Amino acid sequence: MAVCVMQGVVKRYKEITALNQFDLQLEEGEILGLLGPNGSGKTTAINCMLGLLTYDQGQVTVYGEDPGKAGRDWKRRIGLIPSDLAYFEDLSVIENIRYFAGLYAGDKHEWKAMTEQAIDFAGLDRYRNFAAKKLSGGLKRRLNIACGIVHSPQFLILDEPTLALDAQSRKYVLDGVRQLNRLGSTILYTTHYLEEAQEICDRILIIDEGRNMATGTVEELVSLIDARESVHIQLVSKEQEAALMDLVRSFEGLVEVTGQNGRVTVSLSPPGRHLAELVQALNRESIAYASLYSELPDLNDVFLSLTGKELRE
Amino acid sequence: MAGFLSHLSIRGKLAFKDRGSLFWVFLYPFLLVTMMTLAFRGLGADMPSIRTAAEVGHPYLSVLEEVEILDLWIMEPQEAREALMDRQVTGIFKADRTLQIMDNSIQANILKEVGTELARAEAAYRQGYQPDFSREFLLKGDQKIDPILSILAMTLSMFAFYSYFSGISMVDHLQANLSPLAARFATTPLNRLSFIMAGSLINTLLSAFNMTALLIYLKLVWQIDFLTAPSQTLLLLAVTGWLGVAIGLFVGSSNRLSSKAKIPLGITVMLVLGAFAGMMGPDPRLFLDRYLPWLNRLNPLSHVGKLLYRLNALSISEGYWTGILLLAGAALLLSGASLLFLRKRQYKEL
Repeated sequence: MAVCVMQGVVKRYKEITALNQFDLQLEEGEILGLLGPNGSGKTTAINCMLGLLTYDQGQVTVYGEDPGKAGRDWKRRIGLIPSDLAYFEDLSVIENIRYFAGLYAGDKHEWKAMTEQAIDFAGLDRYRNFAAKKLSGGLKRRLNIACGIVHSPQFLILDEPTLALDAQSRKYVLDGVRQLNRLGSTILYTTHYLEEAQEICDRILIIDEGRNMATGTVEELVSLIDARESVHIQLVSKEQEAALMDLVRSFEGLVEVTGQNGRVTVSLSPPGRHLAELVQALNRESIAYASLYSELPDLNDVFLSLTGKELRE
Repeated sequence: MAGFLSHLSIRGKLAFKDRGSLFWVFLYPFLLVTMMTLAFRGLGADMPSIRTAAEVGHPYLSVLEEVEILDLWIMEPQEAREALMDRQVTGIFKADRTLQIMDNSIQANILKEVGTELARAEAAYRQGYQPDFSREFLLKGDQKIDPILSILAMTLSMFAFYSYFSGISMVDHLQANLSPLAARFATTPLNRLSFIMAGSLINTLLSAFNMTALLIYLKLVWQIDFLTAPSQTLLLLAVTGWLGVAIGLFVGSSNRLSSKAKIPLGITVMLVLGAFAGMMGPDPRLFLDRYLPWLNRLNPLSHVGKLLYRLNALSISEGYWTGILLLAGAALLLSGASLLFLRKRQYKEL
């Protein structure tokens, strides 16, 4: 069942088209990564999805309803972790979380349980009485997350939650997202860090200049492009370079081979299929190598191929 | 109900934890009234009365005799002239309504001011003009005009409206296109009516509490009694505080200016309205009452200041309930209009 569907959405800010015939479909229980550089339209798409922004064309439904007209019951199913820190800076951690819990809780017991669960989830127990403005950057992000997941939303939107986070805090966030997904939340995760998208998302939608460039699993996306696997081999003896090049020329998947000073690069296609075969051949022909490593294509190659630019440009 | 109490608690905490609000709403009024009181009291205490001559036959001798700062000597014209030459008096109020002085000392300047006021009052009287300000602030029963009290009444009125800032802050947390927090709240089931009612209530109460503390401070520390009619005064200040919140809600929700712009704008507008009402002395008010009388009729600070002064300096409660109803009605109207603005859920830009 589709949790969120966006079809042909166009959103213009005066002369700038932020979303251009944008399509998205998010299925229940999945983690969909919305991957694109800064300014590509990710946050605009989210704001249309949440009913905060008007749009010029197209259709958006979340749980079958128009978000701009949906009521409180609909909002109870949604959780948002915005890229900006959005809580009361002057209040303490517990006061903030308790306040957000109060917006959803039915009674006192539920209220307390929700608050404690969110504190526990975000690992903020030691900091519960700290003023939010005095927390470190990583802890502030965790508080931002705690306020968004306090009601265990069925559909959680995380907009660049790891922006400017250190490695440890980033790991904490990613583990948390996985945990929420295991507990049943459908997740839309926007980022411009391809490693994150690759690591936690079931499917990835690549967005650039407001357009949906491609959607699929990492493997599906990689298969869309003319990708190749590069195997770099440093030979023990330069004299074996010609023998190696002759050997790989007989490979079915060979695209290109280059060599210089005992260092040979073999490009193979499709990626991920020929490495074992290559290593076996080297051993069989007693070609000694000092090092060998393989470079598989990643989302950045996909992005580069689809948009003509690097993801972090 | 739990949601309402939660909003109440948070808005109360925010009022005390936000340094800006703490300073402008709670501390600044104490600082300003202290400075004003010091300035006015010092001026009065150090000022010796001014020896002045008035010629026999001056048409306003009885008025001049009422002016406390003058040590008035009634003399024949020749006798007065000699006294002035010998510097026994600073100036002469002559029978032809002119003022003669010898030099430009402070005392001589004060006499010029007295002469100017006398001439203004006379000119106004000739035109058949009877300014409300004079009628309500001057002699009434056995009470005399007290310029310090009248200025303080207008100042207190202005401070009661400082709850405006909490209204601005509430909208900043509610309207999705104004702050990330508001955008986040817009995606939650937050009840806006409950939020606004709780915020208005707690900020009205805090404003009333602060004004009470200010009045007690004035009474105990500076012996300035603005609590002649305590219950009526406090109710008036509480309703004024509510109107201040409502104005803040309305200004906050009716446009896209950031709160960083709305707060200085509010301070400036209140200072100007306060000056129009007489907070900086009676001249601007007299001028406006004469040439632009509608301005102060529309000026809420002027109405509240007048009611405060009349209640506490003149012990007059006439017009009090009408004033309260008008203020409460305006607060309701503006809060309702703000709710209408805040009903908007989708924006072209965030």
